[in-house]
Amino acid sequence: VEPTQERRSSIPPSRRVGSFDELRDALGQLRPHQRPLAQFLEGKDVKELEELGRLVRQRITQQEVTFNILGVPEGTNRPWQLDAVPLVLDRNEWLTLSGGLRQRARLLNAVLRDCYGPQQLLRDGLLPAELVLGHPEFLRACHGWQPLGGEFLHLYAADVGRDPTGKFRVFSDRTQAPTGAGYALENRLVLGRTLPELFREYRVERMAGFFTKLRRTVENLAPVGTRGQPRVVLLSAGARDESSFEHAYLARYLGYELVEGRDLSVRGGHVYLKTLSGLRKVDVVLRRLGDAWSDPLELREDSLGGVAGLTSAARAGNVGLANPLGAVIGETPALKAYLPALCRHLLGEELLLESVQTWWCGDAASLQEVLAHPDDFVIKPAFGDRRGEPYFPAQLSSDARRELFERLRVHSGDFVAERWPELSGLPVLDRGELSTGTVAFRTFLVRDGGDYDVMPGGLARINEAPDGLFLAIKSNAYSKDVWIPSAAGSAEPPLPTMPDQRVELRRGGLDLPSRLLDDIFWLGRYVERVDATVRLARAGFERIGSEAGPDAPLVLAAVIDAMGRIGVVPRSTVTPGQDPASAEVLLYGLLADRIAQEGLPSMLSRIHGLTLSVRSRLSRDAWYVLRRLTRTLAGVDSTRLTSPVVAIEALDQLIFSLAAVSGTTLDNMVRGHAWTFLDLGRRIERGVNMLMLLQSFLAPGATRLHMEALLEVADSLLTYRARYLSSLQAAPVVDLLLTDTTNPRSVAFQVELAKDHLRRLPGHEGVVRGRAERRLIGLESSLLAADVEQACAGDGAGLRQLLEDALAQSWQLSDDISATWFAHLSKERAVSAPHWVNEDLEAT
Amino acid sequence: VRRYRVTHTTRYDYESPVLHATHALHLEPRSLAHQRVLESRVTITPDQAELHAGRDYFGNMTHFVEILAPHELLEVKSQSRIEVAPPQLELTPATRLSWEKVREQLEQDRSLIAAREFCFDSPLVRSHQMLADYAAPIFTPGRPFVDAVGELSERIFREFKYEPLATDVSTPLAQVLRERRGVCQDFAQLAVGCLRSLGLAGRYVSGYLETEAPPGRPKLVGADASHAWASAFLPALGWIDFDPTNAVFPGERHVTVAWGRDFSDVSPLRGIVLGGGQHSLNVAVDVTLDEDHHDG
Repeated sequence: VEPTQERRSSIPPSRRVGSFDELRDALGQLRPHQRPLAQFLEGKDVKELEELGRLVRQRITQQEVTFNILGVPEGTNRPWQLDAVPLVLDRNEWLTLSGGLRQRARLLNAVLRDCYGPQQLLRDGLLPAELVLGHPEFLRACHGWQPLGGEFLHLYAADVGRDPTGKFRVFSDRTQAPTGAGYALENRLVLGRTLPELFREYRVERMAGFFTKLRRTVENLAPVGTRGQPRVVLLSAGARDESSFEHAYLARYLGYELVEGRDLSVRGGHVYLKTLSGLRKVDVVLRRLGDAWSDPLELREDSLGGVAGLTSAARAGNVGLANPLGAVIGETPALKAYLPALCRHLLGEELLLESVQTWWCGDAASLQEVLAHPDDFVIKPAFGDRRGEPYFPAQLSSDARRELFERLRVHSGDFVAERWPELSGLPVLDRGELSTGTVAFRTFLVRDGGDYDVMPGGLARINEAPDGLFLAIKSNAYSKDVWIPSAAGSAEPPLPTMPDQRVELRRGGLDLPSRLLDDIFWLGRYVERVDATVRLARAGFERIGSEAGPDAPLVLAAVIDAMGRIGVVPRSTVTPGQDPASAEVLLYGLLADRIAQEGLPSMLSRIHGLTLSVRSRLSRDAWYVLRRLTRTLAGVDSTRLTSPVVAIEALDQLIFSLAAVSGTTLDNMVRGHAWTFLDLGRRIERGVNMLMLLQSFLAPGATRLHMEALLEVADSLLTYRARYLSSLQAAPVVDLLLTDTTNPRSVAFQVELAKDHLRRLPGHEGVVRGRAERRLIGLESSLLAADVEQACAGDGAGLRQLLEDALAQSWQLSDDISATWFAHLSKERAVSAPHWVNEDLEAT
Repeated sequence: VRRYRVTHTTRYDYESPVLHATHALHLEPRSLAHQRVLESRVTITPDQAELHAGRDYFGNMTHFVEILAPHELLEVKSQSRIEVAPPQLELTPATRLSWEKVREQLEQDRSLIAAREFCFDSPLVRSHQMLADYAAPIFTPGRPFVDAVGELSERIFREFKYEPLATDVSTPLAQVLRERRGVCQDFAQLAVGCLRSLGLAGRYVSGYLETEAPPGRPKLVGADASHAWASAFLPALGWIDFDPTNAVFPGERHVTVAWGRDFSDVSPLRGIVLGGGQHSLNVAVDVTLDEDHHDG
């Protein structure tokens, strides 16, 4: 069938009068560089366009795993929206823009050099002193010395939009730790694969070269004398950072270790990564932590996410930083007002790339201008305080206007006024329909030799507020890939590919940050704690309601007692001989109470937190099964939890999810240190829980029913029956669950495995045994030497003593492990002495 | 001219071992036109400590101490011998300059940016209408700057109660102003805040004060305080120190250690420790007149 006219799509003309149309010129003719795109779009019908949008969404969803980290609060994920229509720029226009961007980067570098050096610009009146010396984040500790590499700006980003005349203007500069390049990479990967013909037709410039340069520039910052490949780490605020996805993505792409402040330590003026095998010197830090928040010793005292001593290590020339500390003042919004004069003065050139018109209100004449025509302006904090929302006076109530003007008069220096032009319009694909949106985009630069290199492409957003593209990520704000066509005659580019996954260079991965292993250890413990809790809860629910036999309350009391010992119900609510009614309340609470510190929802959310923090070390499958586990109860409607049947159903779900976690880790995880610590955590937790189960279920007066329930919770009933038929007695039960090394649920089995794990850890190669290993050997021999028959004889006092001793040993074992491998991870604290104390003073 | 021996001992006792610690110290007195540092040294216990000295942005001597060995006790002892002469305040026409003129010059004369830096907000002292209101009856139109600063010092001395333990380093100025009580550190920052709120330059100065013993009784060792006062900038003359805790212009009994925008720039000891648990802090300052060199 011939395509008919109706079937084809059409691109609507830009609705906005007075804005630049990216697609068509003033006569309504398609701009030459937009023709292939327009032809491509207009050749599709609604269904095909819908399919295109669906493909993009699907590819983004396939990455859901990674995007889920964004934002974080349990369950919510901020979907990353990518429009299927790229922003194609004319090559010559792009080259001009790039020239302007490079000049701007050189200029800001020179401004920073002066501010952290002679401050001649302030003396010459080219820059108001307030904007530098009055900047809350001007770092005095960084004044008067040159960072390694001799430059003050290595990475730079600018948010650019096109005004109605078609001229590009900069809305804001980013000089501290510019984000977005990772998202741009991700967008390129998705779109290049979705529109391969169009991508090839345009011969879209590849971005890989930019990242190669970035890597080179960053690695060149290593101190003189660094032998071999410098060790570079990407310093992030961690999983809770808004851009944590990008940090993880970039670290992986660039092949750098992703670390948090607590992974690093400054010793003797050098920066070290705390790893399992000791401290490893770090040569360069790719910093994604705010300037002022990087060092609690010399910068903000409350920046405990930073690295104490980082500033002095950098000052001593022992570590390279990209960007150097203090570069944040380059993104001061008010600075834009002074760039043209600064450019003439510092570079002897006219500023090629204009900013949006900017007035610093601290200047009396500017303030007058702003107050005379307030509705023409956007009013913002002069120092770019990220919490400060911009004001649009034209949209304010008269009271709010009066208040704003009063603040402008009194604190004029704290404000900047900008005139935002109408942004250019371009087609956007929305549910199979083409509509028009306005666009701004972030461009990325990296220091390259004596100049800067611009990433060919960028991160565009359909946006009404083009300033600081990342300040207000709205869920409905689409991003766009930015395409720069290659020069005519250049080779067809390969399609973008998934970046190489970081490979473990050394078998065993001794250089893993210890913090990661600590988190993995606790991940193992919590997963196992959930396992024990779920099995106990299932046994509990089976013993309430009308179906339960007359002896059920006795067993129920033991179940609750065990839960109290494990710590999943509050100890204070556990009473001897718990009555069934209160036991029932506790059991439902365990499943449904999302506020309580104890209970399954809070344990699952702890697992979720740990999963996020070890994300960079989890395989995709492991991540997926862990996410499924932590979400299992999210789907359970607590109002429907009214009968044991429904509860048991939910618990069975959890048991399946748990099995998937064990299966995936068992089958797929490389037996390196991460595995060792994960399994060590599980073994210790399982051993401890079993000891407590034995305490609760074999208390004086324990009946046959108690033993049966215990075997059921321990998943060992079948084994028992096979060995002893139906005769239930304490001694064989204890043997099976405590001392039998062939039962994977027994305490002795856990001890044996834990011992094997410890032997594989560093520090245990020699003949000298560590204290953790000595502890395990002690525990093992006390179990092996125990006379179970005798211990269970009489009133069972022997058994109680045995269990108590084994538990005490197990707790100490956990402490030993922390003290041996994680002691240096404990929280750092700030201490300081005031100026007036002259007598004994107890500090808290 | 007076000569002093100063010993400033800061001691932390930790509940459990500190595994690693880094501290930044501002403890060595500055050399000034009227103050000579004859000798100065910092000693650390435990002795497995590395010490690096340098000057900070404001020219104060800063020591960085790193302690690599586990320790349950840290003692930082700063000892110095200093010679102090009374600062020479030359009575020139400049001292009659009105405070508004001072403000105008600070705003317009770009050669004064080093002083102008102290007009801006700092972490602990931000200009505020409440502070401006407090200072308004003192800084009356046309009043000579030096007179007004003197009265500001006296007013704070009169209207605020010196009360140890009423405040700590994190007490905001607004609370000090409301409750009218605090210690030298608060009064110094209050004075600095008043100056800044009027568009003037205010500096925070830390140091020591020689305190006299009651007649006939020996001066108690360790009873002298680590002290703080304020400084105001007068173009053509420079910085004029004033001590609102005692309502005096410091003479030869004030020993200057360091200055900055507020306490946070010059805290005597600021550190980050790994481990340690709870700690108790014990500070002793001893300022004695050098036996060999009495006031002559």
